[in-house]
Amino acid sequence: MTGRVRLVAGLLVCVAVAVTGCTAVGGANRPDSSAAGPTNASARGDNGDGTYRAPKVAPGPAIVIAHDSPYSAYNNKTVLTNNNPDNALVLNQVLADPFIADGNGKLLLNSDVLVSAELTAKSPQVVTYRIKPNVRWSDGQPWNCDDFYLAWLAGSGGSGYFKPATTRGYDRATGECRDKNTFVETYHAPYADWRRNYIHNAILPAHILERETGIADITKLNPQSPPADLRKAGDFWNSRWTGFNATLMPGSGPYQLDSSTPGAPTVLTRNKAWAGNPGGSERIVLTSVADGAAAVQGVANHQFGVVQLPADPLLADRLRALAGRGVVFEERGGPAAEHLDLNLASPLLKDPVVRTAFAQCIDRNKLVEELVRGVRPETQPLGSLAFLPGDAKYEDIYSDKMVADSRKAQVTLERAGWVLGQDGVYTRTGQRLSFAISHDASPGHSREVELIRTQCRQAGMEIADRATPTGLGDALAQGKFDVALTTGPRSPRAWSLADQYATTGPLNYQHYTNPEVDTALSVAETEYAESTQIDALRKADRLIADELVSLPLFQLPIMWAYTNNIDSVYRHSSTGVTWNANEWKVS
Amino acid sequence: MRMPGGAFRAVTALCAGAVFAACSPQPLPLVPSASSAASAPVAPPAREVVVGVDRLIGGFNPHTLADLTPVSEAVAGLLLPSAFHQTPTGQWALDNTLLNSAEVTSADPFTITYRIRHDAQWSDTTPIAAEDFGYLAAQLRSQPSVVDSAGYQLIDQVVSGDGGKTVDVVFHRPYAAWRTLFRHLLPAHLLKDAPGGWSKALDAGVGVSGGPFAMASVDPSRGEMMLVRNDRYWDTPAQVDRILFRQGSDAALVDALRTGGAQAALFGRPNAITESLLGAADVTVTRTVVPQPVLASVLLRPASPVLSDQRVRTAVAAALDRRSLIATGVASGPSAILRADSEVIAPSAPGYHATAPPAGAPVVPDPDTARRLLTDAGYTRGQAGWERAGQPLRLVVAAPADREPFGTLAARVVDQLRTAGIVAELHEVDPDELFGTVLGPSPAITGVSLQGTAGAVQGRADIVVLPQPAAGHPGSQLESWYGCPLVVPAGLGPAPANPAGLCDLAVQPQTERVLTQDGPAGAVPATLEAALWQRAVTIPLYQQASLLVTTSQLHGVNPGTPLEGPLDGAGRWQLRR
Repeated sequence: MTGRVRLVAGLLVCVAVAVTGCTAVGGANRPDSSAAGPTNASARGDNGDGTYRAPKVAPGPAIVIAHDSPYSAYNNKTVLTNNNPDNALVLNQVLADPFIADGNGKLLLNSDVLVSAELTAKSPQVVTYRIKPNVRWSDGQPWNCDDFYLAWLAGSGGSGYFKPATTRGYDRATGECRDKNTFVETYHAPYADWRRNYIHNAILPAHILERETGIADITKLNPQSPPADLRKAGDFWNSRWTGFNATLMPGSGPYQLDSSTPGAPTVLTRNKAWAGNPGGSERIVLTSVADGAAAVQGVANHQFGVVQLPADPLLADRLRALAGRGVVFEERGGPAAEHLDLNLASPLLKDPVVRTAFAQCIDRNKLVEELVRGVRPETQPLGSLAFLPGDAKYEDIYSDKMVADSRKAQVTLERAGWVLGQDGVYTRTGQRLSFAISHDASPGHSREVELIRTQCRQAGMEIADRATPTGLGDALAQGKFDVALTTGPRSPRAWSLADQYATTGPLNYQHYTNPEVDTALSVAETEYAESTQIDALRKADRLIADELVSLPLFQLPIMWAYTNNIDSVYRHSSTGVTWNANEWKVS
Repeated sequence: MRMPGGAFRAVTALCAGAVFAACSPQPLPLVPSASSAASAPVAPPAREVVVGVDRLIGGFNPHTLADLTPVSEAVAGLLLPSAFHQTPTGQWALDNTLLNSAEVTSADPFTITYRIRHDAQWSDTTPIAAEDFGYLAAQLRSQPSVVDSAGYQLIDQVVSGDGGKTVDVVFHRPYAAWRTLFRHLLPAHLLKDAPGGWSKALDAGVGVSGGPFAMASVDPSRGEMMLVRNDRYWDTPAQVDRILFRQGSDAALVDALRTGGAQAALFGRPNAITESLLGAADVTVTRTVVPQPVLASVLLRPASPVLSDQRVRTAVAAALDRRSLIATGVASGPSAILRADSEVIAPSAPGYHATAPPAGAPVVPDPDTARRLLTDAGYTRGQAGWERAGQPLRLVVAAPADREPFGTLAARVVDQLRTAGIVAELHEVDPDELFGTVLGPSPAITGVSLQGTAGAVQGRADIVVLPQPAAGHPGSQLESWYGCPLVVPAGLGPAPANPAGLCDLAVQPQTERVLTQDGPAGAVPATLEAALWQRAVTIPLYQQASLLVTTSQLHGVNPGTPLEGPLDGAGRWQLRR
């Protein structure tokens, strides 16, 4: 599997789980949305100076969290696990991160474990992490630079023996341990988003890997080291941190894994070695409940304290109806959006006229009405590929292009020489206006494609439904598609846009190239000033919109509910409801 | 009956404005106010017919090319009174809801006397009177780009008598087709002093009615127009209380028919998709194709400095692919069987027969002829295309904006010309501006064969894709579309040129003969048709057609001729739930 194919496949794993709250590649949030947002999205441990410290919380009873799929891996950063949201739910409280991303996307230095993490030079870019002394894993071993170094070594992918979900960011840097508590990254190219390199469960216990592989000192290993050593390290990192094994999986956060066996809940207990204030709940029990109705029933009975479910209008209605039984239901726009990706290598879709007409015939409002508003009534068609509604810089730049007017689409085609045949399908110089939409055959996507086919049939387009239950990975990677209906993460924006729309982007399976877009995305990735980043993203967004490369449909909502004996639960867009579970006051 | 001279003279544009103004009360509300409705006894549910339309655009003057749309034609038939109506056989029958009589009362000067019913009045209670005849005659004689102006150019004067209820129309030449005149009278008392006058006053709606329905509201932003029964209509009242026109996509209209949300739908440009949607819908409907009284045509204007040269005009025609343009325009809809192979008469009209040459320009593309004629005219083919004296052969192709399919057809013409090496630009122009100004008044034409008349136009349009009236009296259409302005008596200004700016003195005598001396049918001689094809001024493409679809809830539907329109007789419609 080539790197590109692997990344495509990685995205599609993400796509497949998107309706459950797909985690971004690299998992992170939208930095510009920090100014606004609901109050329960803020971290209680926010010190107000850009740092976080776990707050003191009164001890409380165990809490049971019901979610979609079972926990499967301790290392959630491999190409296979790829930031699986159900794993993230478990790991949020088990593995300490250098930065805490709150529900508004604000990054806070985790001052329980770090002294600082700073950009210490710009040319070349140098980032220095200073780790607090005496921070320990739950097995008593130090949490130190070795663990950061391992994360870098694996994430950079340079050796070829580690199989990370993404190398973005890591691959621009060289990591080194100046001492046991000082980790330094030196970048060969500027990278403004450096804070996201090690967030969301990336720091794993190097001492375990050393012990299990016989490697004496992981920091002596580098991408040019003997292959045998790299293979040993890579094999362990890739595959041994799956499932549950108490001896291999210590905790570095407020909680640690206590038990997890197939078919049974995963149980977290307080990590006694944790450097900060302990979590409130005595235990956190995470149980997989695939049947949404059962999850609803469980929270209605207060059997579950929190439920994190896929967005589903029927379940949303049932949860809303439980308000009188002490259940709080909440929903909001999630981190993922549905869009149609057009293959510009297709003889038909490379024609901007066809793309224009296709954009014009789709009635996104109908899609939203039927598929989304049952969960989130205020949802509107999405107007950007870079930003989401709620982002400070969000602007709808597609409403004048995606006008939901089949007649206008007909006019567009006819003006370009397409002639309507007796069967109601346009042709031009013998070419029939017929193409397919590929999708993953999920019920939601199937219905979505059915609606689009009907809408665009009224504009003289014959669109086939190419459902691929096995996923779109191969079709996309091999360019065997006309239009793909995908669910893509929108954060971090610069990454997701560059991956998909930069000429050399690893996920640019649409064969799109525009030097101006490349330049803008490069600026977005390398400029340190957020306003410059955002302006560059907006420019790229507009350029891509003007060429109708992808057609945004709507932002997927996320939803959750909790019993009112918990003070507040907020579902993080990337990592789910447990991002601040240590802060919950449970009575 | 010959009217006495001076005492009753001079209605036309000068018609007794003060007198009629004194008779013009403020318009009364057409529907009861909310407060009066609230205090009234409980009324039975209104009998409302919902008619879905695929395009509801403003502009309700049925006499202007700018407003020549299926909806404006339909509204005109329901609101604006006419002297005669066209029967399905093409005959003209007196409309006795308006007139007691209309007859030739003098052969010299040729005079028609119309006696208007005393109870005929506009919905604001102003009598329908000679003033309205005079206003219409004056406007159609003097305004550019109107429908069938030729007959009105023959009128010397319109004389009012009997308090305005008798109208003597005096012609300076006999006019056999006089029954075709005075269709869709307009309320002179409102329009003559209205801001914007002739071209603008009816853009937003028709303020009063002289028919069984009156316009209550037009809301383009909501895509709705409401007609209500005109309670001041003096003849048989409408059976339904109101007709609501509601705009929607083809799919929305079909869905409304299926669910009972609409009892009828009028598709102004039906195509294969429309048919497909209807076929797939689970609803029993009656479909009636109603040809519209217009052709979609391409006008190569001799008024253009470039196209005044017959060689260039023919070359340009030879560069066009008429068959492809037709295929684009008809879109496999009902117009597909209405290819227009006559320069004057619509395929659906009585007396139609194909006169198009079997081969060559402008019927089929002829690149060799195009090259030869452009070379003869002094052009050479450079790398960038055809040019002469260092200047490219550049043409402006115009179409009325927001009046599909004309913009689309114009875009195709541009594309075809570019392919042939001719620089072409598409200009979509506001219809009022295009027909009123760009194709508008031009200097008087002197007796020079095929003289261009572009001198005074604002903007430029070498080629125009536009609606060509073609379902009325052939002789009138011929003169109106191709003829020179007719010589008129002293004191009246000359009529504007036709939209092409064509005045061909070689064929003008024959054209006038067809207009004035032939029988009411006004057949166009084959030689004249051939001459028109040869001149390549108008390339007719096809006759547009509407599709009226009704459900079983609606009874008494009997669409009229192309001129009378698809909603003809809507006053007799009955609703059955």
